[in-house]
Amino acid sequence: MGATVDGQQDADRRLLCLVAAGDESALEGLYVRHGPALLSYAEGLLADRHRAEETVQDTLLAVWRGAGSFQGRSTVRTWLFGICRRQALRRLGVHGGPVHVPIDAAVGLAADEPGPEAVTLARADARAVAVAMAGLPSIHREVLDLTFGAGLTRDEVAVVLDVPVGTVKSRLFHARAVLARALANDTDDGCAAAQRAAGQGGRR
Amino acid sequence: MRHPTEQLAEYVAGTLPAHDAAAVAAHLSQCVACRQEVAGWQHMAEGVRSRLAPAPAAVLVAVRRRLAASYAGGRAAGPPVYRAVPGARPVARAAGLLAHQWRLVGWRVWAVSAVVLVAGIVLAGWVSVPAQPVLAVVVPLAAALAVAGACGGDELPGELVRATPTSVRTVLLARLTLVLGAVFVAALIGSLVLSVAGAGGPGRLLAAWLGPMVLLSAVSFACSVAWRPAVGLSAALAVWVLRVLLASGSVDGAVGGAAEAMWRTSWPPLVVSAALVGGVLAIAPRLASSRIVRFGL
Repeated sequence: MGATVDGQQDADRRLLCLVAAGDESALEGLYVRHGPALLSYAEGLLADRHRAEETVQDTLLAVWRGAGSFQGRSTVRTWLFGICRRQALRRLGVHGGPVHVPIDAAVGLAADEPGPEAVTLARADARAVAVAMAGLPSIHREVLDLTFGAGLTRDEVAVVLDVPVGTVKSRLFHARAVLARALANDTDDGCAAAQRAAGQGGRR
Repeated sequence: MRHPTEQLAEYVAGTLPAHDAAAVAAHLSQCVACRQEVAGWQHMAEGVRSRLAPAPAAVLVAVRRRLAASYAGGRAAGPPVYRAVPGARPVARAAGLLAHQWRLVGWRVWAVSAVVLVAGIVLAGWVSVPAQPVLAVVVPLAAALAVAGACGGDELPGELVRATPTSVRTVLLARLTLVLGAVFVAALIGSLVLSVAGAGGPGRLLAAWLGPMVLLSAVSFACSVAWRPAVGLSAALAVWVLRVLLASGSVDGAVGGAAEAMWRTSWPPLVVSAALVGGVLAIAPRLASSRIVRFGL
């Protein structure tokens, strides 16, 4: 698997070199490879598909202009997603300021033992998970998008978010806790509604 | 049993190194709890991936259009050059550069030098008539503090430095101009106020601190840029303490005469200062790149 990842990184780097030399089709190549994940990531941050597409346009233009200055200190995709994030935050009017984690999300942190959230999630219907995910705060959603959507390693995610690696780990677990809570609430609400409906039916 | 709980998300994402992934797989074959954990992450991964849609071509079309528009705007080939400072006219460029540096020099630098300067001027007005001796000691110190704080030890990320079209020399010179200009204006206002209050003629007051200020700032600037702010500050303080000792009469002899000749507004200190600043600016770009390499940025 490591070999595949390295191969992908090499391909990215080759494309970026071509972009630096002024090859537009190489820019297209990068877009084909990373466009879906970039769009979905930007949409998660901005909660708007149209603005997400504009953000990806800005990202590609920035890549076109800055390809020559890429120093290879990070991977190409880390660089791409970092640019995308800055462009998205710029659109939101946030200038790299700290993003706050709600306090209630800090409860139930990563333990060494498997936790009850996993049980909720493992039992949940995939569609319900996708729906609940749309309601996640962007701080949680972006770490999921980068990890599962973009397939970045934990170190790469840390570079994109400009946080320590340990923070990436804890945000992943936060995200899961919040998602599991949302799913559990949905289930409870469903039960309550069903009971209410049954009660009304009984009285009638 | 030690559970690889922290690695399971990466295992599901497929980003775990091969040997770690194998170890996790082996553990999963024996551990129901971790299998459940993996199922949970898997549902989350599916939730994320279900939103991945093929990238629309419209984005590329829009990018091509914007690129073509920027070419039509005057640049025939190659990526357009990023311009950090708006305005093509030299005066507007300089003003923009100084305004940028004004924001980049931290407020602490301004606060510390302002405190030293105000305290010195108040002291000069309070205790000494004429005020020259106090000003000759205080103003250079304020300037050296500000210069060391503003011009040394930039821990700017390397890629940022390289991506900026403004050269390291220009940036350093802009900061020096800005900081010295600010201290100069503040000290000038202070001197005029003292002069009005009867502490001596404005020309004499100015002459008392201008030469020493330039010299001490140059020492501070040279060492701050060549090494780091702490070195610049130490060097400036060493020169300053020497001068204070000489003025108090603790040291005498030939050294005293030579040092006193440097501590006034005359040619020798100005020439030495110009040589120091010029020399450091000449080697500044190489210093900047070696500093970046050293920090591994």
